[in-house]
Amino acid sequence: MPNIIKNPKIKLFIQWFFLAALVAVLAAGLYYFAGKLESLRLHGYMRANLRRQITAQKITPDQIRGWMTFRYVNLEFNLPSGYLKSALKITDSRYPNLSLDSLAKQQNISSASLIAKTVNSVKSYHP
Amino acid sequence: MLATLLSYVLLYKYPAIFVITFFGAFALPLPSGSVLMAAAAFSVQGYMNFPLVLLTGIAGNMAGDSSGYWLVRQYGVKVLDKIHLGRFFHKDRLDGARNQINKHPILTIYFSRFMTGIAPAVNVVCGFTRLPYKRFLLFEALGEITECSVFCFIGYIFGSNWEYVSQLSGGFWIIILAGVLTTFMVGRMIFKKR
Repeated sequence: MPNIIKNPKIKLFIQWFFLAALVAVLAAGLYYFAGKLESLRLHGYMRANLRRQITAQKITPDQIRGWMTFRYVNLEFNLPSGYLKSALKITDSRYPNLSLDSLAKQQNISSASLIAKTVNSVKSYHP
Repeated sequence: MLATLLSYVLLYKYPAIFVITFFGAFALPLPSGSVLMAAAAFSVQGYMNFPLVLLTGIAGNMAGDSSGYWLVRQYGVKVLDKIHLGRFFHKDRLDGARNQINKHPILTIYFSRFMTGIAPAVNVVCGFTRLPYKRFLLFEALGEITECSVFCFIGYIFGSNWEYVSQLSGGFWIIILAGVLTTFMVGRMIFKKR
């Protein structure tokens, strides 16, 4: 260890400097996180009142993702179990226990393309 | 990877949560926190049951931690190489965990539950150094209950918007870590014997 750091005053200065840097990181992080949290609240991302009995927070069609299964999508959008099967011409016997990504791979199309078709089908059912 | 894991959770529900959290706690660098957050959000949407999600997550994590502890305690660290998991336990990580456990065993066990890459190394070192299992289990359980509850409640509160919040969570843990380090340093400077 360099001799200058062995000096008790220098050592104490370094400790206080490091502490000040940590406090600055903590304060900046809290400021940023609190700002994000407030932004989420203002944009309605949080549930309004946890104590009230509210309807389950469902997703919107634009929140459909490739990892979602058709069973999940049917539940979220109250679709009849066979609706997407006929709309998307799905022949896989695993339906609805199959993810959009798996089906896209099977049909040799991109996930984005299948998601777009699914979104359109959902929006057609619930205009 | 998260997308694949979420598909399994939607397909197999609670067994999938248990397996993912088990292997995440045992050795593999899996995003089990995000999976729990998502599963809690699915429960808000009516797809799963929230108390069961929380309990399954806690059980999977505790089972994985205890398995890592006992495997090394019984057979030594070399068993990890034999089951092809040795690459997740680098010498540097194990040495770092050993130093922290020697200095602050309770704090290290508890807080390491919040750090995906560190917790399995801490479990291994606790087993290797034969830290009493009851002590390990108590603080490991407290840590896992806290960690799983935090992730599950975030998913519960934000519901279908959990994905957006998950992107913020990395910064959140940096804040927590900075807070803990600050508190530790202040305490040490104030109470250090002259």
